[in-house]
Amino acid sequence: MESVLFGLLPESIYFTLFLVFAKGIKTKRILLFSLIFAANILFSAFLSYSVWYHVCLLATIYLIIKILYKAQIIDVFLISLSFIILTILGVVCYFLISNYTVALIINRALMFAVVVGLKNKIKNIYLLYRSVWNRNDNAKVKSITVRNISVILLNILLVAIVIGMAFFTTKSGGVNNMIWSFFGFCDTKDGE
Amino acid sequence: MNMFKAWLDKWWRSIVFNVAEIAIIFLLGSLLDLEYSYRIYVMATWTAARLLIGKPKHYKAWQKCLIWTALLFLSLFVIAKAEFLLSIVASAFCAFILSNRADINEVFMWKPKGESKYQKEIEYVKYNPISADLISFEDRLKRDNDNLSVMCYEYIFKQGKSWQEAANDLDTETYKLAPIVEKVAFGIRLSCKI
Repeated sequence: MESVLFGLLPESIYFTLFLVFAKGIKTKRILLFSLIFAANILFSAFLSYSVWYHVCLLATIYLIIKILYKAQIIDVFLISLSFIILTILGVVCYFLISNYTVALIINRALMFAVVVGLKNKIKNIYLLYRSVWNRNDNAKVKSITVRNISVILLNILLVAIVIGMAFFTTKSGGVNNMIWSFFGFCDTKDGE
Repeated sequence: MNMFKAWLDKWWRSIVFNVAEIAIIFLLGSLLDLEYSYRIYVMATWTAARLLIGKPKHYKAWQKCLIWTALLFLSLFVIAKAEFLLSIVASAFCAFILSNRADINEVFMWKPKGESKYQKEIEYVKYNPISADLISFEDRLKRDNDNLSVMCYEYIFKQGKSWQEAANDLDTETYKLAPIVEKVAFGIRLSCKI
């Protein structure tokens, strides 16, 4: 119950607000939140502590906005931007604050502070991103470069999630050992 | 033999570049001590996806192509190191994104394949909403023109409505919109230097 109330529910609200502000969504917002919340609960029940939870959630949120608002593929990167912000805030709070409960409360507060405080910037970034996505010979940055940067950042996000999930599920070893073990420099996950 | 020689003269640079690129990317996997089979699967998935999806995007300069492809595959190999199946999915997704199939497609006034007379102006307004020239044009339009011109601009150029939809919303006929839309389009071309 606590994980839903303090984990899934705030995150679902966060994703909904992020999309509403970025895309200027004015209709079916309650439905959007409900579907995201339902997907969050479903995937957390079956894919908890797995990178596939995040991948499925990302894909499902994209499908939800595609069905509701005829979203384009570029919105996958908008959703992944929300994941990146969430990941960075989570890492910062977890490593700087030793008390888990305090870290959780501050993390949730920061999450909403960022999305509400930066709502205009998020919208402008999204509009700018859209303007350079398709080929435009007058643009300063080529469309293919923008797309390359986008997919590389998405790949880095996925790796960060894999490492993060492994860190939170391991029982021994430190962060460094986990990271090194992933890249085959240690025989076991304990880093021995 | 002559035909083969002509074909080789035309394509030898491209063949040499592609073979070298494949070799360099394959060797990138050694930086991460990635298994050979994983590298082959990721590269094969990428190639197969590009062929199946079609309309791939390319750089004109071979240097940019090599650098960006190397960075992309390095990121895919890092994923493969952590979660192999995910790297296959990511490889196929990247191939899709780096093709013209992932372009933003908006439904404009007419059918997607048929272009409107004002397609360039409509696309400019759609994809450059924060352009200083366009904002300046909008301010002048609101200041100097009647409401009908402003609403035409809003409905047809910004919201992408069809002429019929705009005419219904404005309670007028489509033929009456033609001179107004022409005037607005001319203003956009002049202000935004299209």
